[in-house]
Amino acid sequence: MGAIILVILGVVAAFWSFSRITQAIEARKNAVTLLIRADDLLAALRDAETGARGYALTGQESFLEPYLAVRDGIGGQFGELRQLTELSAGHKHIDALAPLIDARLAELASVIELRRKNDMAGVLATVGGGQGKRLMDVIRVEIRGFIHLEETVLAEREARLQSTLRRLFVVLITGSVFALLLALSLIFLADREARQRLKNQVHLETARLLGVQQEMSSQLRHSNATLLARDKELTASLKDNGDLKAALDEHAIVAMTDPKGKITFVNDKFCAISKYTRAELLGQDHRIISSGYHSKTFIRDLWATIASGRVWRGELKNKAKDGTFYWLDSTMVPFFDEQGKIRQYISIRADITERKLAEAAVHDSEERFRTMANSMSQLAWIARPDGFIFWYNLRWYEYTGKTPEEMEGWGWQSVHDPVALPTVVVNWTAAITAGTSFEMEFPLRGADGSFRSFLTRGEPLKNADGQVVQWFGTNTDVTSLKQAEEKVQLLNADLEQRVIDRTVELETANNELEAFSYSVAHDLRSPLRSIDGFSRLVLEDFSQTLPEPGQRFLKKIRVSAQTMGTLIDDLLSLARLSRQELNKQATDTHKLVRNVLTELGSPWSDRVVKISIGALPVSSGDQALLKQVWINLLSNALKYTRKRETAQIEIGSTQLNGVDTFFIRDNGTGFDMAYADKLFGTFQRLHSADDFEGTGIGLAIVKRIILRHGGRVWAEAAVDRGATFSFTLEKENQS
Amino acid sequence: MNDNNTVELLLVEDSPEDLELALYALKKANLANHIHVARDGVEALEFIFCEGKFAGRQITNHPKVILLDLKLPKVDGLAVLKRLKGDPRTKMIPVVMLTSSKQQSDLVATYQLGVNAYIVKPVNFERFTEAVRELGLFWMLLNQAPASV
Repeated sequence: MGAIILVILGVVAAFWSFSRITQAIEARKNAVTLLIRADDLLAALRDAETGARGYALTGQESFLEPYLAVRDGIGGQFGELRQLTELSAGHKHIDALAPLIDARLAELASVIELRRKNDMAGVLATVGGGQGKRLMDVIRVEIRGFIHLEETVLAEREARLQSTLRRLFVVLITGSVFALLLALSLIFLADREARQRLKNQVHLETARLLGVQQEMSSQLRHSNATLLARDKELTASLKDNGDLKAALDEHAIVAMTDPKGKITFVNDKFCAISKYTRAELLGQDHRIISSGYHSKTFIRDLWATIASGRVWRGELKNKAKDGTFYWLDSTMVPFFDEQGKIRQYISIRADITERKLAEAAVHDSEERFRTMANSMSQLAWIARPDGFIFWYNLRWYEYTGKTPEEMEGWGWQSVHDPVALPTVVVNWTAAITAGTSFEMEFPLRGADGSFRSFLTRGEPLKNADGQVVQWFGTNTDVTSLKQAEEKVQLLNADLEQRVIDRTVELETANNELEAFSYSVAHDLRSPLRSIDGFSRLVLEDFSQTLPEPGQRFLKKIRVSAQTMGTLIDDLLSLARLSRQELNKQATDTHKLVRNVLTELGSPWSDRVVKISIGALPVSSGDQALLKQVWINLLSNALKYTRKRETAQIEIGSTQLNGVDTFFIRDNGTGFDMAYADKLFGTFQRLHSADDFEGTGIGLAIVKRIILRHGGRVWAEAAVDRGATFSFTLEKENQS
Repeated sequence: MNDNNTVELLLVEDSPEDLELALYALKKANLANHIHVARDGVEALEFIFCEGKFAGRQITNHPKVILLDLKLPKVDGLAVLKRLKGDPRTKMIPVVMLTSSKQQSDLVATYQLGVNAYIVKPVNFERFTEAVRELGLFWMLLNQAPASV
């Protein structure tokens, strides 16, 4: 620290000394300049004087040039000098000079002026007067005084400069000595420091080197261990390779070929599947088992692949010696020698004939299925077990106008009615979860933007374990069906209304009819009773007075009235048949027929009537009405056989068109089949009332009853050859 | 005819022809004594219940049998029958319905009301006479009124 202060002090002293020296030199330079300038001023005045004298003597203007130059420049020269001396002691000499110079110049000017006027006398007087010479002397004295003063000052300054220089020298010497000492001590310190650092560095480097050495030896040990392990592995691997080959031969069909394609090795399985012996195969190329199935391009690609050193994988169809084909899943691997050229090819193959056949079968079946699904009129689809639809038939795309990409998976939602969609999704999801059939009706949007209603069924196809393998679905357009259904419903409603209306009408008509028949029963019969009754009274009470023809006529009146009464009764019972409710029950036909015959028996007891009754099945019908049928038919049979000596009536049954058919055959008068259609008509008669009495209503009643039972009645006959009446009580099967 | 209190047979018939024939038939069967004829239901009821112009009659002297036509003016035969059979004083009087029809409904209705017999007036007069004779005799002679009279 002391050293630093010392150095700083030295430097400050040196700077101070330098500045003093610089000032001194500057002052000296100024002083010299002042001296020169003062000299110059004096010289200028002398030039002016000389010029003016020359002009005065010669009158030539050219002598005036120095004068004119001084007159114009003297002011500047004087001003400069004055400025330089302003601070110095000499300036009082300069101030004294100014009026002197002006006076001298003025005297010169007057001389010049006089000369110009050619006043030579005035010139001589002026010059000769000595005024100019005196002025000039004073000026010289002043300038010399000034120079002297300035020179003294300069000398003093020189002396001061000398001392200052000496001081500076001392300072510089002292400072240098100190600096040298300082530098020496610094060098010593730095050297000590450097030595220490070097020592440390060497120590560290040594430690590092030791570490590296250790690591290297550890690595070396490790590498050695690895090498040993590798060696062991390699030995094992070599053995494994042998095992591997044995296992491979057990499993796969293996062959090796040379680079030209000649077979150099085949394993037993190769021989077994190709049905060639090893001897037949070795040395051949693979064309021996070529099936001709694959295209030339395919085979060329295969060879190009392996020849370029890449592995080829694929399925090959080959032909065995016996001409049968087999499929192989093949992997062909090229192997190289040390020069990188192909040494041989090894092919490893697996027999996939069964799989290919199955695939072909599946493909065929799927093809058939798709053809079928595409040809049907419904929309159809197939989904994965999780409901992802991966196939639609063509009809689906035709109808929706969508592409397979838009439809795949759950894309079908885009053609659904947004209102119905949530329910569809819920139901479909439920069906998928449960694995049960899905059935639902919903609208689907067609390509034209309009919705049609579809009945959709999704059936799960399950495997042997009962797991769903696929879903197969159809969408059937039921729009027209629905429309038809609605129409039918409308029609039904309409029909029901019409039935109701009609029933009301019919009831009204029926009531009217009932009122009518009631009135017929009572009121029409009443006059007939009177006609008959009073005719009878006349015959009884006045037979003595009434001539015989009168009595005969009255008798005819009575017969007619009674016939009409019978007609009315028959008509009423016919009408009643339509209204009466059927009370159907199983009836013992045989018993019924016997009862009827007993009832009818007495009126014909005077005749010979042979009646045979065959087997008669139980019949189902209204007992009272069935009885009426039998009464009418049997009484007809008895009536129309009246003229036979021996009436023969056969009653029996047969099966016709699957139903029981009853018949009554007689040997009576029969009838002409030409009129058969009139037989069952109301009031229709095929015989005259004189031959056989009757109203022509009996068979009409029979027909009405049979029809009401749902059966059929018919007759076969010939004139004088008897008649057969047959009837059924139920609808026959169409034969 | 005779004293209203000794009437044995009440014939209710509106048709004059039928009435004459019926009376003839009754006469033939010797049943013409003590017959009273009513021409409609109202008259029949007044006679039986001793009302109106028959107010002086004793209700206990009721006829032994009533032949009642079904179709009658004013009050029809069914209504008359109903009233008769509904009244304890008269319900034991035998009533034979006379009718032109064999209408099932009529038959059922009258039997339900307690009619005792039924004659369908046939067109054939002999059969009518026969029916009237048989029934009239049966009810008047065999079916004597209770002795409480």
